[in-house]
Amino acid sequence: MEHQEAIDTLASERYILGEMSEAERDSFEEHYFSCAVCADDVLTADRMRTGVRAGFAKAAPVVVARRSWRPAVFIPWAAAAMMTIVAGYESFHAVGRDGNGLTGPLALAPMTLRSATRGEELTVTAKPGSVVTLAVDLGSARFDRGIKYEIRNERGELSGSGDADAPTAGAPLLLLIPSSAFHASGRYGLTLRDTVGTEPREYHFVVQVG
Amino acid sequence: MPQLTRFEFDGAYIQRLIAEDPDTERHFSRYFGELLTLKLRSRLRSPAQIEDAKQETFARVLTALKRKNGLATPASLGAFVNSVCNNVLFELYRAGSRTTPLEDDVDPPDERRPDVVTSIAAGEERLKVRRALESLPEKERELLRWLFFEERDKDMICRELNIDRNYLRVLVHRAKARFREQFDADEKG
Repeated sequence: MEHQEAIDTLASERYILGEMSEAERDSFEEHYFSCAVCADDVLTADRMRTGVRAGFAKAAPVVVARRSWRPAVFIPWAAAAMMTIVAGYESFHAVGRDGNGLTGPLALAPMTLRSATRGEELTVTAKPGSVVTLAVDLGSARFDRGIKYEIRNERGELSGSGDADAPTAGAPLLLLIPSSAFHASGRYGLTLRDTVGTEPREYHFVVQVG
Repeated sequence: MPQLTRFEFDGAYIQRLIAEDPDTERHFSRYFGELLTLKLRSRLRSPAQIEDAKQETFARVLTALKRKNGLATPASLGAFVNSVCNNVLFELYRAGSRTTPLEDDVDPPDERRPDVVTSIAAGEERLKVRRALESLPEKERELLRWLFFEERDKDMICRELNIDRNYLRVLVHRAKARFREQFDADEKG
């Protein structure tokens, strides 16, 4: 196994989860015995697993309301929305668009944007003076150190860009885009990159202005 | 993590090993000791067997290095240790097939006691591991508990979380990254 392959396939995680075939396990061991980076990585994973097995990952002692992963669709969105409103407000100024300010609560009805490989493209309506709200499904993409995003039209012209913190696991990235960012109806592309410059993730959607 | 002095596996390192330089020997046995334990744990049942296989591997590697007065490619020291360990395992399996296996529930503890320094270091590390795990968000701790403490079926976990197996690995990856960050910060602090 080559180093890049080990990284790309999350070999350390699969190794400690016991998900490798015997041949693949042998191959990864051969690699990590010769690669200090992967050795360090797999030992970290093993240390974490050993600690959990020793009972060190106990539940929080005071639980007001049991949180589960499933309602992540609602609760983290609400939290993310609140944060995104602030971020969105700043972004409006930063890109010199509408200059809209928020003086009160704003209810959002985000459209879910999935990666380019998943079925039909989403169509959104950009009404004048309004915002387009996208809930970007990150799927299995990893953005450990934040996200850089860019929106471009079909001609490659930039409609907006910025940085965002990576959402918590399982939660979508919420993007508020002022309608004025879309100068014309058409197909647009959203590119998300890890701030360390890993493989970008592409999304496409259609904007109907008006 | 752990904070080992970084040695280059070059000709000089191997010559120091052959000359039985204490620092180099300590580094060698700690660095490869952890990797060998990890590897052997999935193949051998008892801590005593693991320790024996590890010591046998070290003895054979050092004997071979001394006999050959080095390695043709010093950077391949890790691969060499791994292949020697594979041979040791193979011989253990072969020997095991010629003897009567013990009952499944017979897994005697290793009676050999680690030295005081090793015990203290292990105790400190356990504390750091505990603190790093406690600092993780509850959701991540819960996922890790399901996986490694309760050993729940992974497909059932995925159904519970409404995710696929790829994303489960990503969640473990993120938890590991956060765990590492906390552990390293504790180590430095």
